[in-house]
Amino acid sequence: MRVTDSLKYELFTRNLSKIKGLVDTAQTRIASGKKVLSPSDDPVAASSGIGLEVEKKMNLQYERTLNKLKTLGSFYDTAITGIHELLTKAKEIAITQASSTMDAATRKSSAEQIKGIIEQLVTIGNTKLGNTYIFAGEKTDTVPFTLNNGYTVTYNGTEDVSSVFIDRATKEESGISGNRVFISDTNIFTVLKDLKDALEENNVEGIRSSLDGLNASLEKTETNLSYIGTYVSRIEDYISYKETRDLDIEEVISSMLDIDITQAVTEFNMLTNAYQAMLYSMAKIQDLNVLNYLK
Amino acid sequence: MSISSILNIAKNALSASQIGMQVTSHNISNVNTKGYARQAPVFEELSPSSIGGLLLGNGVKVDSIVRYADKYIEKQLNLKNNELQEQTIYSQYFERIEGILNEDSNKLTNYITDFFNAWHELSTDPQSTALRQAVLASGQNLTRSINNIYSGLKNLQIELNNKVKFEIENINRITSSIADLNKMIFEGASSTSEANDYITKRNEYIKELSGKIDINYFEDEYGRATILTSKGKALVDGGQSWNLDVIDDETTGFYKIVWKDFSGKSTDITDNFQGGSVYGILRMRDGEINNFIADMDELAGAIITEVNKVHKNGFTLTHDPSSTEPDNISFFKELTGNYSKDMALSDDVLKDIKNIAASDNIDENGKPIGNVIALNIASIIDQKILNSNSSTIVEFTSSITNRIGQLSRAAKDTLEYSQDTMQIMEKQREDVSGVSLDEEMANLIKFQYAFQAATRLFTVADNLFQSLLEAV
Repeated sequence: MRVTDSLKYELFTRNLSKIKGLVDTAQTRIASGKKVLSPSDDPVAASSGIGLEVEKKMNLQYERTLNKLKTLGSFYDTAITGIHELLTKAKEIAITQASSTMDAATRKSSAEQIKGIIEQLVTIGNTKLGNTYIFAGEKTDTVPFTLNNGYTVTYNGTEDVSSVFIDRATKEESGISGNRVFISDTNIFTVLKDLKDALEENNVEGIRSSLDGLNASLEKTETNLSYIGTYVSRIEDYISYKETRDLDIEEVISSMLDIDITQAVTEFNMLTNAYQAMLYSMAKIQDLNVLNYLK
Repeated sequence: MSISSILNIAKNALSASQIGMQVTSHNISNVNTKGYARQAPVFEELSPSSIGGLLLGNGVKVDSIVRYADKYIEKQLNLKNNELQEQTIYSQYFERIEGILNEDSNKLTNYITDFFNAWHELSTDPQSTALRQAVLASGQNLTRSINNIYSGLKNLQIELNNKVKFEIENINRITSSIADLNKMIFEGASSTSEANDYITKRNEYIKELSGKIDINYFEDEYGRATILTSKGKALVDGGQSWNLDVIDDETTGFYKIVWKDFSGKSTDITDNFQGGSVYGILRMRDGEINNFIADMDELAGAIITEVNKVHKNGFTLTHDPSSTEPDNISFFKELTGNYSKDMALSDDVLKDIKNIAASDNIDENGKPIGNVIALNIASIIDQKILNSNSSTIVEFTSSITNRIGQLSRAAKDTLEYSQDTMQIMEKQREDVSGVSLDEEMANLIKFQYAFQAATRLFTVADNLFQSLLEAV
């Protein structure tokens, strides 16, 4: 086989640029920390990577939603606890004022206290989280409770609450509606208004009968309180599930697309060695020229 | 037999060695000339003269100068070059497409997810204008990303189209050069060796032409090459060449390639090619890129249709309280084609973000309530709305990435294989035709000594004459 000069140089440059290309890629991999720099490096990993990145992003979105629900839950908890306290106070007043030792004057002043309680309850009912009235059901931007003359209260919200996705195809209600807390089954405001009227009218019978309503209201409120308690703990469970899932996805993505640094560095060293050997051998071959021996 | 015949022999030997050295220097100087085939003088003894019953040699002559070339290897090289140039185009342009479709740079799926996440977010506070702003912004990112991918692909297609014209001009230049060289080869054929360099040059042109299109060629008795396209359209015959030309195709807006006969009549030969860079360019331009544009159209079209279908059933914040009907406002601009090119948000939404609907219901005052529209739009990302309802959006975009990745990788691998086999063939060609400086230096010394020896003959003859003259 005849080895010709131009071929010798051409093969050298071609092989050199090939190795240089490999060194370059190895270096970029180390610099970027990524094994798959473009889809053609590993088409399957690159395309599953896209799916997983979406999964990760959507998971983060669900976590945001869940955290919102958690905050909302704590608002409900505070609000409903407040309602419970106010109702307990109203019950104490009713029990005290139902006693025959009380007279019209004390009952009159107690009626003022009940008015205050109704006002406070309306304030609680109109609690806002951001721009949202938490007790308005789906009508989140409508003031849910309005206090009328004569201490009747109108509910302007809806019976149901909206739902939001907390996972693919899993929905969770965003809280509890004002209807359920204040109005349905036993209307807390009606009970209190009746108590207030009975106190004003010095109607002992009326005061006694409102105790039934107050007990029912308290019972309902306690049920709602435990509902919110389980609601919040359910949300918290979801959040921790999502957080674990985040880590899992992160790990899968990393194992698929990221480099193993020791392996990458070893590979890089091997390539640079080959590159140097190539240059060295070329320098040697250059000496082997007949012109060096012709004087 | 005379002393003068020694002089004569010496003269012939001198000129033969000189020719030898000239051929050698020609080889040395062309050591790096691409496609050069080394040459060598063929020495032959001169016919002897019969003197006194003896046949005495008359010295040397240069019979011819031969060119070391293997026609079979050169033909294989041309075929290989045809394949190599085609693969080079694929590798180059698939890599470019890969750059355009690479999620790391265009962030398409990222923006798609952001867009649907923005609807999720809106569903948690459906009357919020700030969250509507986020929906709008993410929608704009999404449409821009799709528009950019489209224009990236389209620009590549236009670039390829210009390349077609450029390559056709090159082919015309090459074929006319080959025709000119054919003429010179024919004229040189009567003499012994002049044609060698013309043949080398012409063969190099044929190799270049083979890289561009698939051709058939053969040589006539004078060494002139006749070249046809593989479908039989004449490109060169003797000293004559036929030009190719490009004309606009009105339906696609791209160039068609035509072959012109002597009467100037054009025949469309765009579909005639089977290999070479021109075929690669055409396949890229008319096939691969269009497929990816079609994919982007399908994606954009499906998103527009599905989102609008839900959005039109919604009640916006600008809902007229006197009506109980949904507002029928499109979120994306309604299109009938060119989805990826023209995808944009609707004018209504761009004008006022309150025209974004999140609710599917209104209360007694005509105010939108609830978040069902936002929820339904957010859930589109999980619905199988593509590939005749068999893929979700993300499955679809990841399959695009997978496909371009596979194509680009396969193109790179095939190119590397072509380069390697080409290298082997080139080695074989060099084995026969290449110039080795070591060898040439040895030859140079050989001819140099022969030359010196011949000059010594002169001295001897001269001395003989001197002695004779002195004897007189």
